[in-house]
Amino acid sequence: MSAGIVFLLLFTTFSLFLIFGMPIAIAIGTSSFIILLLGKIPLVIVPQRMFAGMDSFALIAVPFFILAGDLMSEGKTSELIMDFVESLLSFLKGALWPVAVLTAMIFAGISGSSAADTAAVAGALIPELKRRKYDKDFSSALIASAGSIGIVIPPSVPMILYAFITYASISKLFLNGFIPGTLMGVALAAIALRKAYKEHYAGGGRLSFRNIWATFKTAIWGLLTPIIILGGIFSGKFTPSESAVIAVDWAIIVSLYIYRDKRWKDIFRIIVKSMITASLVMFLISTARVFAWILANWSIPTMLTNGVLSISTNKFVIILLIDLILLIAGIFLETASIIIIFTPLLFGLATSIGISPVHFGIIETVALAIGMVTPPVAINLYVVSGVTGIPIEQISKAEIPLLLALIGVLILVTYLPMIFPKIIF
Amino acid sequence: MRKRLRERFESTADLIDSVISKFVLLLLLGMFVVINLQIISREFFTAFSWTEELSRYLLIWVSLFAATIAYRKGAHIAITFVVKSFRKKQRQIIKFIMDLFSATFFITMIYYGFKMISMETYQKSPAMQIPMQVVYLCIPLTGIIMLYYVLIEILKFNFREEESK
Repeated sequence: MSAGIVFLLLFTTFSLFLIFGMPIAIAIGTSSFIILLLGKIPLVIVPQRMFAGMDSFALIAVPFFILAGDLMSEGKTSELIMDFVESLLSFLKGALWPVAVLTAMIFAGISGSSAADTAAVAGALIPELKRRKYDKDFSSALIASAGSIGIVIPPSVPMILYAFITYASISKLFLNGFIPGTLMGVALAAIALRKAYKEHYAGGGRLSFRNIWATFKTAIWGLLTPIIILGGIFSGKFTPSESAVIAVDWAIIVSLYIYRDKRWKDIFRIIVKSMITASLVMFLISTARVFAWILANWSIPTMLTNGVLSISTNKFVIILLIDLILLIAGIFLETASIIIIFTPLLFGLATSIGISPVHFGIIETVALAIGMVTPPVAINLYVVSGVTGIPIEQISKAEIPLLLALIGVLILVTYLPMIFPKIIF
Repeated sequence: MRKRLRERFESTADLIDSVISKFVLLLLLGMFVVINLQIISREFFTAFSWTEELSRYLLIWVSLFAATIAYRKGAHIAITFVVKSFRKKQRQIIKFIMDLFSATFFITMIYYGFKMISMETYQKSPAMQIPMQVVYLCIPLTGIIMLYYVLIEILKFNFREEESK
């Protein structure tokens, strides 16, 4: 079979299975298995690739970062961090909105997934936002958008997956996540503050250093988590996987002995829950390796790259096209699936026009973070809607200005490093 | 008659499910301890050679077994908004067909998983020297469990109702 036919068959069967509701991991495995069968390739490739697809020490970071985030988001940690952040920002009008954004940014340093980040911030802030009669729809949209920073500021499960697929350096990806994550936070907070000042929200008290100190003293244990995780990775002392395990050590110590908000029984329950969440990604990685084998065997990425380059060689146009593909994929698919399916296809194209692997990883992560708030497939909106009870449609309407701001950040993150390559470390 | 059979299958599935969730907890705790050991041994003593390999294999096992729990729960990531727009009967037929396809994938995992094992008779893991045949068992085993779960789903499909209407 020629590469073109394989590509066509693979994607039609895969899309059909997907549209008709087959789980993505199984759809990708089944469509690959059909191609192998038609291509008369020994099917023992299937279990071999599935096993090899998960056989990596780097992937150990996936379950443990999810677990650390889940341990910290269930319980007092996020509330205590929020109290501290509020004491810092209470001089602003409508202070709870920037508080939500900053809390999400700090929690992003603990959690590797945006859903956990959103859940942590929503759980801690929604009751307070309701009590003080903040605009409910906008608050929900803001928390969902701020939660998406969870995968941009390290640690980040999607970045780990990207690094696993492309052999890019995880610590470099992590290091380059801070600036885009901060830009996203600043953009969201600016829009929220503009709305708050326009609509004369209450607030604008004086800074109380006594209050800052008092809340800091209790929040410090939670605030130390990102420092422990990132310090370990950036000092080169621990691999990201080991840091993830240390983060779990720390989360267990804090919840059992310092905040005393959990018992072993709760920890065991959270372990199984987090592992099931992690298994969704792991099983997908596993079956997607069969798919990646097919792509490589028939040189499909090269075919696509040449196809695109024959239409245009303008790198600014091509990268815009890639951004668009990722944003559209983000509307219909979930983050890990996009990373796993689209990275092997687009990576060659991106690097052929001179985008560095780390830069492309950052572009992809920011684009996919936006995908988490674009319905119908928008995990963060579902998480917030689950906490507030406000329907997705209503939150989506309030989401529009925030979405535009995030797309603005994506454009900056895409083009600035192409003009000034030095800003990627 | 079919209903009773299905109920028996379901209760067995519940039992398998609860055993697996304990197994998942055990494997994850194992991995947690092994990696902590790796860090401690490297920082303070001499590094063990086997911790990295063991934790990788544990990751594969725990991921696949946790994936069977997720499969039973219907938690695996899927696009549902298209199927939800269909009528109930059409939805059941689509689900039936998709389940049949999924079953073929699980059968591939089982049959070729065992075939891979039979091909690796003398292979041993580099650090721990355990037979790779044992390590590879996780693929056909979890294939069997997921096949069992999907067969229950297939049994739920009611042919007679389709014929009478």
